[in-house]
Amino acid sequence: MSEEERRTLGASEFGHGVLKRLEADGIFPEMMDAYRFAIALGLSKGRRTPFTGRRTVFNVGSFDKDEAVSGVISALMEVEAAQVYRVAEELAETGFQMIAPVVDAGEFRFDDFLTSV
Amino acid sequence: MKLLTLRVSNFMPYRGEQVMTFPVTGTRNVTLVHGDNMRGKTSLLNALRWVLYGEVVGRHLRRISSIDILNKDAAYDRDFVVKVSLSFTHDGHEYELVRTMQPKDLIDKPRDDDHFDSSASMRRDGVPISGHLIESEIGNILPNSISRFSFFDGELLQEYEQLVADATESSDRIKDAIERALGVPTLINGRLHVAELLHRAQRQFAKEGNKDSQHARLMQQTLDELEDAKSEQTRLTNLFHSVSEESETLDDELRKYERAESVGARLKELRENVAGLEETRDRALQRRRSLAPGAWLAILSSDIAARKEDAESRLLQSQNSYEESVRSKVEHSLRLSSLESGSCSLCQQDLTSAAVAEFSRKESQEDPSGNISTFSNDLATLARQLQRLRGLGAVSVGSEIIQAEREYDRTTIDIARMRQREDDLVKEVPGIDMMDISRKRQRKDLLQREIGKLDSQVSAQQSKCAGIQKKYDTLVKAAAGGQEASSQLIARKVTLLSSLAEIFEKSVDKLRHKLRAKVEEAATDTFRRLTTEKQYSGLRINDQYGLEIRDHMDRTVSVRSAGAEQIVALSLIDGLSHASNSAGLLVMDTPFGRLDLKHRAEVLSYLPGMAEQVVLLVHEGEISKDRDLAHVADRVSAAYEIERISPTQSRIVAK
Amino acid sequence: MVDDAALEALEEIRDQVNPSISTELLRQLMRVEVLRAFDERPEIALREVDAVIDTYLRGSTTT
Repeated sequence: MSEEERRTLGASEFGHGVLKRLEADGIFPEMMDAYRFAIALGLSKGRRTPFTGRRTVFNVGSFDKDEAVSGVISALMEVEAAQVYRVAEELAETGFQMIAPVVDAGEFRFDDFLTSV
Repeated sequence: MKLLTLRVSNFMPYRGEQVMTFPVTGTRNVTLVHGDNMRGKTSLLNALRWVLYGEVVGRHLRRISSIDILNKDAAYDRDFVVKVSLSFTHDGHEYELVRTMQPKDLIDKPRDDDHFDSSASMRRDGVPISGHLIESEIGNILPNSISRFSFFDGELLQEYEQLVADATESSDRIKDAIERALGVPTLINGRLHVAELLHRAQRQFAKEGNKDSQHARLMQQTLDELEDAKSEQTRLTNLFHSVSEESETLDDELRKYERAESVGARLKELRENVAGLEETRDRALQRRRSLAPGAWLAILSSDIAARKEDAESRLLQSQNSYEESVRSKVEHSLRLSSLESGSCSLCQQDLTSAAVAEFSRKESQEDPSGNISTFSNDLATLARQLQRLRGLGAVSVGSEIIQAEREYDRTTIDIARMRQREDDLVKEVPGIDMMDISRKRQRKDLLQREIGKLDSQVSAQQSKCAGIQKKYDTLVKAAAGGQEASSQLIARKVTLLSSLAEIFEKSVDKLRHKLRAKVEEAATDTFRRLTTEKQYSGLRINDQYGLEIRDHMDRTVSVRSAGAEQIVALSLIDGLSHASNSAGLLVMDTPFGRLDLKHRAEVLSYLPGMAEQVVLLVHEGEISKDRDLAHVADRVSAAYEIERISPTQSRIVAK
Repeated sequence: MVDDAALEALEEIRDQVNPSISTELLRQLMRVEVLRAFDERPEIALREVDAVIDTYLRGSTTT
């Protein structure tokens, strides 16, 4: 893992596209909120989705200032501290796959996700 | 007037030439025509109207345009000629009237009224009548103004009911029509003509002069005064009529606006509600967006809670284990110390040999030191984990986000519903200009005041004219004494015309009064025969030719059913035909709609006697062939059915 | 064709206003009015009424 990779969080092209759509639709104030939401979806299913073609999206320092994300992931999964953000990326990828269909249809609703998990 | 034959060609639903005859033999004077609605019954009535007067009317007496008179299938086949011929007898003469409509020269495919030419030809006993005299000839047989009492359609009944309900513009029209039927206008015209001739004679008399030139000058002066006064009277009367007309037109418009105004107010309220809902919806969306950053935790809230619970119970367990191992270690220390000193570390008493053996045995079994550090590490880890988990326990925004979304949904649905309602309301009334309404109201008020003023002015002017006329008549009488022969003739003419003017003037009211009484008597007689209600004693006619039903105590019956209205209207028709110069023809289109069975029977039995010739246009629903027609079966001379060939074509078939 | 009811009314008023005016004159005047009721040229009715009156005056010695 490169230094850059250690200090950043990335997404696949696909995930990146979903993030852009969510930003354009104004569902979340910031893209970081959307990314956290995707991680949470993946975490709630306990499923990681590996991917290739990584694009850097955020710096860890600004994304997880209070280490809440890493804390939750560590609390709910058996993860090595050094791997927690890699795990986060794969959890987010799962989340993007769940979000993509409703975003494409223009029918994103929190209700659907909050009541099914 | 008695109809003989009607031929229609390409007229409304009748494609090609179709013929009907109307025989009258002995007491058989009824021609029956059956046809369901929209098949062509009313078109037959219109064919008669068109051949006689060149006009065809639809609902509410609206004129139907030429292109709609032409049969659609004929138009499609490029056969653009419409022709209706009517042969009839009147006053011992036989007439043939033909009206034709065709495209103008060079018009290949006519599309509107301007593309058509219409012409009429008429023969009396085989001799052609000059074109410009045809209208006058028809006017002497069956004037258009009273034709509605011979061509009696269902709408006339409704208009008549309006006449009784209130005095509206349409009721004035009916009143006019009734007075024409009774011959009142001939007297009114006579009055006008005599007045005009009197005026001319007076001028001539004044011009020819007389021996007394001073007297002549006075007469001329008075005549000039009279002319000026009459001019002014005419001017004021015309102004009064035009202002009244404008006021009535405004009334009609304002009535339409009242409805539009109430719709406008509802629209305004609706739009305000929509705006409010849109604000609520936007706020809900904003709220959702502001809560969105916390949504990720809401997703995991139950997992976190479960994990916290688990950590808490494991922590408790670890704490218990740790305390247990600490206690063991302390006991171990105490035991060791006791064994070494030979006395109890706590109470300082010498150890018994049994105690020594026990302590030694325990020492060989236990070594608590290792456990303490393990438990201590576990405790620290679990405590950290729990602390982290507790740190995540921010207020869950899940339910608040869902609430915001549901509010958004609710308001979106409400907004959609209201917008639909808005569209419906907007369609009900095209643009409403509130400023325009206000202007019209103000104008109306102004006109009302004007009318009041003009009314007094007209009366005053009439009195003035009468005064001057009297003065002039006196002067004429005084001058007539010493005249030359020709001047004497003029003077006699002036005197005669003065008398005639007064006679015609007073006769108009007298005639109205007489005829109303005549109509009332005849209508009452008919009414008593037609009604099944024995409590009704008769009818009374008011100034508007409205008929009131009187009961056996001579009180007005105020609540009348639709059926009763029809009977009253039919009674009026019959009363009029008895009191007036009746054309002897009655063509009735669907007259039975609102009559119950009993009344239907009465009316049907009576109808053949209402005129010399009766044509009934009926539909199945109105009159049953077996039950109702039995009442007139022995009076029917011919029967026809209008058969539907297609939506654009019907055919007249003799039965 | 003469309008009977109108003629009757004229006669009754004539009896009150000027009994010397003959019924025949009134009848002839009414005949003109009825015949010309729907003529679009009002001056024709006026001329004919005038002719009736002149004829009457020439024929009678008193008014």
